[in-house]
Amino acid sequence: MIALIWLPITAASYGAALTLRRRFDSPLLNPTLVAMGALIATLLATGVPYADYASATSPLTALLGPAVVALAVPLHRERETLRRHAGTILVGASAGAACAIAVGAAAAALMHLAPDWALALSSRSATAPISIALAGELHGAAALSAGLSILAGVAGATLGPRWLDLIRVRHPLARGLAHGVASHGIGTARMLDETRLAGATAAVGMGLGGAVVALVLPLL
Amino acid sequence: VLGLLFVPAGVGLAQYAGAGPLWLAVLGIVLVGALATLAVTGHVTQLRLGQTGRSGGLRFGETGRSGR
Repeated sequence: MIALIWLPITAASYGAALTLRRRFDSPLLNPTLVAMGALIATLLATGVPYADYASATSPLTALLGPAVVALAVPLHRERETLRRHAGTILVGASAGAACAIAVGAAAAALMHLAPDWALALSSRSATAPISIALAGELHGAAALSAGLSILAGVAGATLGPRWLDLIRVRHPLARGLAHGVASHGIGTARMLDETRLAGATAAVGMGLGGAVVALVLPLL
Repeated sequence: VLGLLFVPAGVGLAQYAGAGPLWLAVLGIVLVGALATLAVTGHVTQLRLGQTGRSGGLRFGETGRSGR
């Protein structure tokens, strides 16, 4: 019964992280990352097993899949533009997803990492529901794969807009696609704040990038 | 709200807190990988948009405002 308190504690942690972000207005204070850090520290300090926490917060996790799918709503409004650039989007998303897999797989091989770490690093650019499913199928560690996916999402969504400014990627279609492929749902939510086209393209990138990861990793 | 939904899955990393220094390397790979993926996807896409000359009547950086 006492485990149920983790649900309101999680919501309160996220609310506090949002307040912190608004007060200091720093992109580095990503609310998801701050709340995750605070809750991990709390679990470690109290010795509560993650299984108990996961069970208590399962209603939130169950909503994750449908919420990510709902990010595709802007697609409808931009369907004409997206259809016109279908070939470009396919090439861009495939190149980006290949790069994401290559960086993770090469780094894992160089460092001689255990298979569950290697899989989590290679699938990190896919959205958490996909990386969790891949971990189940390829005998990886679901929690590790989901965690690294979320870290990749936070990294891309936090640094991505300024990074793309710096390397002169300015077209909203290119910016959106890059965020969708590199940082899935978290990046897509960030792009929806930038422009509607970038948000719609990010949703496409998230889907295509996830599909490439899901198709390629079982072959490696 | 979407960010909140990702939190419980991310907290699962608590099980790997014992990995210690390995985390520094992994975080570096995640960071570099995200930036590399953004750069490759963004440049390949933008290059193709430029090559085909079909930017859809959109000017770089000022289209599709969400109106938020």
